[in-house]
Order: sequence, then C-alpha cells, then structure tokens
Amino acid sequence: MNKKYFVLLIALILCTTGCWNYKELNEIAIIGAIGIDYDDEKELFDISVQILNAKKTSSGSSSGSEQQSPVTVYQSKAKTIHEALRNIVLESPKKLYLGHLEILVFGEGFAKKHLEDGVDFFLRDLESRKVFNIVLAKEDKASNIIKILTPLEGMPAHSILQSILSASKNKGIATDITYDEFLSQIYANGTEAVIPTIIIDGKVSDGTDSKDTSTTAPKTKLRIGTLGIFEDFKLKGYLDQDESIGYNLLQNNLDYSIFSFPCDDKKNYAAVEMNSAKSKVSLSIKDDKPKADIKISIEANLTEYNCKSNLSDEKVIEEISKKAAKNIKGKIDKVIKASQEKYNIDFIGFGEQVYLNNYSYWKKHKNEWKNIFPNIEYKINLDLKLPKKGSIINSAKEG
Amino acid sequence: MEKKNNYISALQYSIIALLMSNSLFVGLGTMIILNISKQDSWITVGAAGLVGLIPILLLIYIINYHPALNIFNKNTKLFGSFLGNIINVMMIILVFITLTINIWDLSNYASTKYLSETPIIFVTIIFIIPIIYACYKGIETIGRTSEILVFLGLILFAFIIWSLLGYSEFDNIKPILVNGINPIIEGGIRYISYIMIPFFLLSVIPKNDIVDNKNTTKYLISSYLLSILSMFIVLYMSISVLGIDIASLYRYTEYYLMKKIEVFGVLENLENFFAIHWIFNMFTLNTMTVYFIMTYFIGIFKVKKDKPKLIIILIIASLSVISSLYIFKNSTTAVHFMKNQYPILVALPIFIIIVISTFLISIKKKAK
Repeated sequence: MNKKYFVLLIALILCTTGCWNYKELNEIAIIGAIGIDYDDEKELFDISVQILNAKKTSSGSSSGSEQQSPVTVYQSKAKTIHEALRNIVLESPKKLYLGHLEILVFGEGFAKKHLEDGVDFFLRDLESRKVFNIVLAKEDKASNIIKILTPLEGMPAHSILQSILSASKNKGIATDITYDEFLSQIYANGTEAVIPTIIIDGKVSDGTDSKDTSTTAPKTKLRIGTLGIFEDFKLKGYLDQDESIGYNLLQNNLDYSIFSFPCDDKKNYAAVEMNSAKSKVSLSIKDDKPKADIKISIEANLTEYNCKSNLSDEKVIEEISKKAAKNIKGKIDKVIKASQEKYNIDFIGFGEQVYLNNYSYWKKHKNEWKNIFPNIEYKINLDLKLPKKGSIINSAKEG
Repeated sequence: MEKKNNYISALQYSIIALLMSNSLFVGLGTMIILNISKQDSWITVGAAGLVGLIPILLLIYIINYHPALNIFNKNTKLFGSFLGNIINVMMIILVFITLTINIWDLSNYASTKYLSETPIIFVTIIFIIPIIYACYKGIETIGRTSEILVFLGLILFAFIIWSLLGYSEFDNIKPILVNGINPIIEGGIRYISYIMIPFFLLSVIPKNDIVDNKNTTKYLISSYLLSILSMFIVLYMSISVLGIDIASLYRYTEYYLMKKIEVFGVLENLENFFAIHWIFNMFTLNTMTVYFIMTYFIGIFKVKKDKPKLIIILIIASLSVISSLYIFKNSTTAVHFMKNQYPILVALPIFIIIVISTFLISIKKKAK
C-alpha cells in the first residue's frame, strides 16, 4: 500500500517540476539597455534594444571575431511598448529577456510629451528587476545612444551605468537614480523628478562601428551630461554644471567633487576636493510664509593652489576655506534661483518639506504652491572644513 | 490509548499560530492594508494589533473551556446538538472558503512570479501534496515541521530586515494621519478579520493535547504580539523604503521591496528568500486549515483507521484545489472579495460565534 502511494507521489512530483517555464540560455537574448522614443508622425512608440552578443562573448577575442560588435541593436515600433518589444522576434532569432536590464534610456521627445504613456509596462512587467537605472538622451533620440559602442567596457549598457555612477559619485553632475526612485519622485507631493542625461560626442555613424572603439582616440563617445528636470511627467529643461552640482549637494547625493575658485585677484585658481558633505533643508512657517534654512557641512582637502600665499599661516587657510565655501554656496544659490526664477519648478523639494513637516499648511496652500514657491526666502549656512593640504606644506609658487 | 502523534508542545502550538498569522505578509493582506491606510498602515497594524487582542483573548477563553474537547465538541456542548451542528457546518464552510482563498493566493503567487507558463493546476498540486502528507501524519508532525520552519523563517526574516535598514528613509512615512482616522479604522477592521482566522483554527486542537498546556495562554499571546511586530516591521519597511506611492502600486509589495536589496555587492535576488519564508507560512496555514476540516469529518464519521482518514484528506484537498481554480475570475475580483466581502461574510460570523460562545461559557461557569 505504501509503495502505491510512493509511486503516486513520485508521479505527481514528476508532473509538477515546472519545466513549462524552462528557458535555455542560448534561446534567450539578454537585453542590457532599452531606448524609448516616440514617433509623433505615426503616433507609435519607437523602441530600441541593445542585446548582448553571446556569439562574440563566447568566442572571446579570437581573431575571427575581433571586429564583431559585442552588442546588437534592434529597433521596432508599435502602439504599446510591449508589442514593440515583441515585434523584435521578427528580426531576432531569440526571445528577449529583460531580467538583466541595466539602463533605460528616454529620448528627449518621448520625455517631453509621452513619458506618462510609457511608464506602466516596466512597472507591470514580471521579468525585469525594477532597480535598473534611467538616463535621458539630451537633445537626442534614445535609439542613437543605444547604438554607440564604448571603448573601455564591452557592454555599452554597463558602460553607461558605470559612467553615471562615477559622474554621480566623483563629479556630482549626474544623479544615480533607478526607475522606481524616479517614479517615486514624480508621484511625490511637493517635489519634482530629476534625471541624469547622456550626450553623444561625435557622429552616430562612427560610434556604431566597432573599428572606432579599437582606436586610441575614438571619434564618437558617450558623455554624461548635466541633469534634466521634470514637472509631473514632462521634461521641462536642463540644469547647467554648477546647478547640477548644487542640486546634488542639497539632496545629499554627492560625496566627492572638485571645486576650483580664484585665490587672488590675478586670475589664479585653487582647487579643493570634497571628501564628505551633509546637507539639511528645513522649512519653517512664519507669518503664513515658508522660510528655508539650509545647513551644509563639508570636509575637503586642498589639492591645488596656484597663488602666492603662506599656507602655514592659519589665517590664510581660513581665507581659502571662506573662498571655497563662497564658491560652493554660489552653486547652491544658482540652483535654487534656477528652480524659483528660471523654471518655477520645485525640484529642490521645498514643497515636500512643507508636506512632510507642516501638512496643515500644505493642505491649505498646495494649489497655490506655484505662486508661493518662487518667493520663499532661504538662508544658506555652509561650514567648510579644510583639514589637509596634500603632500606639500606651502604654495609651490611661494617656494 | 491515543496515538503519540496527537500531541504537541505549547511552544509548537504557538509557533503554528505565529507562522499562520505571518502568512499575511505577502499576497492579499498587506496589499489591501497599504491601499486602505496608505502611509498610516504601520499605525493601523499597531492599533489593530491591540484591539485584535480582544478576539484572541476570547478564543483563549474558549480553548481553556473543557480542555479535552475540540471546538466542534464544545459547540455541541454549548449550543446543544442541533444548533451546535449547524454552527459546526457553518464554521466548516467558512474555513473551507478561507482554505480555497489561501490556496488560490499561494498558487497565484507562484504562477505570477515563477511559473507563469506552467498550468496553475500543477502549481496548486505541488503545494497541496506536502499539506496532505502533514495532515495525514497528524498534529505532532505539523508541530514539528512548524518548529523547523519558524527558525528558518526567523533567520531569513532577520537577515532581510537587516539588509533593508540601509534603504529605509524615515521621511517616507510622513506626514501621518493625513486622511484622518477613518483609513486606520477601515484597515484595522480588515487586519483583525484576517489575523483572527489563523488563531481560530487552533481551537481545533483540544488543550489537553498540548503536553505542557499551562503555558499555552502565555505562548499564544506572545506569538500574537510577535506576529503584530513582524507585520508592523514589514509595513514600516515597505513604506519607508519604497514610499507609499510605489508601495501601494505593487501587487506583491514586499517581493519588489526585496528586489532592491544587494548585500556586499554580491548577494542579489533576496526576494526569493522572502518568497520561501512566505511559502513556509502559507504551508502551515493551509495545513492547519485542512486539519481543521479533517478533524470535523473524522468526528462526524467516527473515523479510527488511517485509510478513511486519508480519503477524507484527499477529498478536502481535491475540493479545495478544484474550487481554488474557479473561486476568482481574476486577481481584481480576489482583492475586491478580500477587501469588502471577506470581513463580513467570513470573519464577522466567526467573531459572532466566538463572542456568543464566550458569553455562554461565562454563564455556565457562573451557574456552576
């Protein structure tokens, strides 16, 4: 009797192994990046996918395949993103696999007008992890970005991701933002979303040729640009470099950056390298008006000094600190001005601070926030410490 | 002399309760609470947890009454043979509905996340096989299995929460009470109605079948409080990491929450750890639900041998599998049912039975 049950159990288990879902690695096309554009004339989503070339990867750098591109790009158009992706099976012999998607590139036209219509698929899709990064093709189409090969990383999608992370961490002009974080910013009350951008330096036709990446100076390269700003689901403009750094400082996104500033009246410059930064934006309501108080503490090292001064003198160091602080403060001031005056878009998140900490005021004034926000007075308290001055103790010019 | 496998310890008893109540983590429970109470969901769980102690204490009161009897025998003793049997049948129907929903929830989850191309019937069968086996082996096997699963589950849970701490942002849970107290009350009612049922299922085990039954009340309240704490942590983490807009958008919020985690840049796909943890909990819940129904029919048919017992289990399991395939047209219907009908059609009648039983017991005790 027990044997019967045992056989029955084994038979049932064999029927339920889940083999319906098996996918062989050689039957799937692993997507590294997806670009989304919108064809306004035909009113169709224009999707381009960058697929890892498994043939190239498996054959390594054997002589026969050296000129072969590490990725292949397919493009398709349809009324929905999913249909456009599925249409690619008409060209690709393998089924697309979204599980390793690293980068989603928005074309500028798509980001300006049609983003709202295209966000659902990637949230709903079961295959993709929701933690892939997003980037905007500044003044360009996403499909062009997807096509460009990169010299130092075989997989361009990975190269773009690493460039964003590096530009975000070490320079401060980009922001490392995942898809769900971006949407969270769009949905949030009292703040607007910001997105890193990418630019093509050179001709697209050169960048798609793998011969270009095998030279010491490729003609076409991808470069991380400054931040793009959104209002609801629409791209409204771009910040410049100083504004992007100021934004990232305010959002606590920035750990390392270089700040150059004049150290005398003779157009000589000094540079400090920021090692850590912490900022806090708080809003208080006085006389029914919000007032912002911004506190930033920075620790930096003096890394270059091209003026003539005695750096052994503490007063001189203090003076340099003040000049560096003024320079950084200028960037913060500039980004707040850009948000209040140039765009009247609260991407800094003053409104969010009110929403989080003074909800009754927010409830009362949220509909007129557009009028209140540009007039918010703010105070910046920046404390910059300069504990180290590198390998030499004095200015090289001073001797 | 009764078989040895009819006895469990008070610790195993409370562990079963903990695992069953933690099954609310994924699936329908958290999603419904997040959608009703929004960023105040964690307050909802805290407040409802305290109010929910009332039915739990009433249940303990019933469990302590005539410790040699299970809930069905207690009902016939309290309400008389005719009314008691009607109440028992009603309870079986309500518990069977719960079983069907839970099996649907579990197989739907596996089908959505992992086995999208596998026919759902096979997914359901693979989940029901160990349940049949555990029920056939008896309550001691269920208790011992739960004992193993709880420690694995707690380790996984602690690891996941530790991994999530770095992603948590306190600002995401602010502002609180923006929509007043109503969403908290509405969410709280749902939460109490969901968490009450697993504890109710335990009443099928006579207190005398618990070896060290002096500690039962203490352990049961501890496991209830622990499950409230776990749920509180899960909801707090979901909101503070994802933000309420994204957290309430997903069907399986915690699953996507886990997708964010990357430990030491190496460990990824921790959502699968969480899925295992949840499947453990659902396994215990469904096993106890089948055990509850099985005990009723064993009592009705006065079954003593193993073969008819197995037949009863197989019939219950088959019926639940079949009805789980047809109970909901789609997940929208399921969410709607769990949100609006389940608390009234299933939880409320059970709560009324508990209250009336408690009332009758107290009268009988006073009369003595």
